[in-house]
Amino acid sequence: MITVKNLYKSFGHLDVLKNINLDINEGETLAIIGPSGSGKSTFLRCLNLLEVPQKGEVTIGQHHYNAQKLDKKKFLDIRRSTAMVFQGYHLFENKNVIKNITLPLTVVKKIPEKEAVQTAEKLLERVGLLDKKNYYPSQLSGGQQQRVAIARALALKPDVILFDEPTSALDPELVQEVLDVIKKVAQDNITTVIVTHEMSFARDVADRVLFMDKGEIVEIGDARQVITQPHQERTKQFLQRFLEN
Amino acid sequence: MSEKVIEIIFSSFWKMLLPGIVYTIPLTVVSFGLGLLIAIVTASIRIANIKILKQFCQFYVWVFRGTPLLVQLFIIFYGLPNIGILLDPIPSAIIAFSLNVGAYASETIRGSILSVPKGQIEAAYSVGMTYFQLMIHIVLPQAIKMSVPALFNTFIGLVKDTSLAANITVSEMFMVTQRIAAATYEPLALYIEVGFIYLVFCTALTYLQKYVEKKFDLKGE
Repeated sequence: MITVKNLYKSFGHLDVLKNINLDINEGETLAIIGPSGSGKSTFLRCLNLLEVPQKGEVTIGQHHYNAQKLDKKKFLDIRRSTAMVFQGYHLFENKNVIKNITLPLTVVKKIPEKEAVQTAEKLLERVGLLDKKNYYPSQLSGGQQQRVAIARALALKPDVILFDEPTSALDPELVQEVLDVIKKVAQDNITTVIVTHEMSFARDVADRVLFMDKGEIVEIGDARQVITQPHQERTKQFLQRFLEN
Repeated sequence: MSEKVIEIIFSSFWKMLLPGIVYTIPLTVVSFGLGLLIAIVTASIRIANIKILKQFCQFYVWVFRGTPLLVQLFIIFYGLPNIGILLDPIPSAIIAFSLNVGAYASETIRGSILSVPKGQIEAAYSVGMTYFQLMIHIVLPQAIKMSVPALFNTFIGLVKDTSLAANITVSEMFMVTQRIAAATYEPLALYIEVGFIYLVFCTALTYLQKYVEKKFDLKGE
């Protein structure tokens, strides 16, 4: 489903991603963990071209890009085959909940308004927010906003959903409601890549876990194995505090 | 106050209000409309970073914000004939006012566009929107809402600035007042009176502003 070959990205003199190679299977849930500044988010953002890598190739479903041969159409094709859920939710503040979900459908996918509304309502029901459909983002809690953002991503029926630290900005008591929704998504056989600091969530929900440090993949494997019995010294170090608890 | 002064105030009221309706209001509305158009184009060029055009726009804003409006009026009406460009007073005034408003308002609009949170722009890109779709559906509606108070500042400022057109022979409200004052020797009462009419015009705009802001709020846009 997703193939990444020799992905390289630097910001100035800083190498953020050093030759990343990775295959992600269809329907798989992959969790990416690692210390801040290890390149996790940048990697995710290279997958939908919010960041442009200098070198490498990425295939997502039907679409393929080579970092050195990018054009406008490629950007749109790649972005239209992916969807992203951000740490800061990033709902469209000038649109109400239902419009946040239908706008990408009507504007980008040219789906008729009526059909888009039906899709949106179904998804809102799934994330438990149908009664809030006419609210504006500023009237919702962080957890509610994030659940709307997940519905917005799901509505696009992308080949892969990218979660970029979806619970890091939330109050502790709101984290669970969002994790519950993501769990449902992961179990629905939608290909999911999630950058997260929730170790127990990664262990229980992901199929595989990838540990990244200093722009490199240090370890990748079965979720439970990597989290509870990591092979690499660096991974053990990183997970130490979690394992002690 | 003597009866004579009161009579002058009353008899001159319509003489002042008429040029207010015929000149001040149309001058303001037309110049503000054109200025807004110039401002949107200028701000868009600067944000889209179009090379040579961007520098031209920066130069334009620099010049028109950095020189007195009165000087701009004089250059256009009295100066340009020297190089063969002869304009009537009203077109001269409209050109000067709209260019002046355009320079100020372009900065207001540019600032508002830049203040739309970057996250929403990334979100719009992440769902596959083009730059144009992003601007139309996400950025501009929010930028316009944010710029309403500042744009009304400019609008209200322009109402009063139209009095400068008296200096290039436009018979607007202030020039008519000057004439009546010279003929009646009652400058105090008459200038207060014309000030009052300007105040009424600006008050109407203040209410319009409240209405517009409320409308945006209701739509949440």
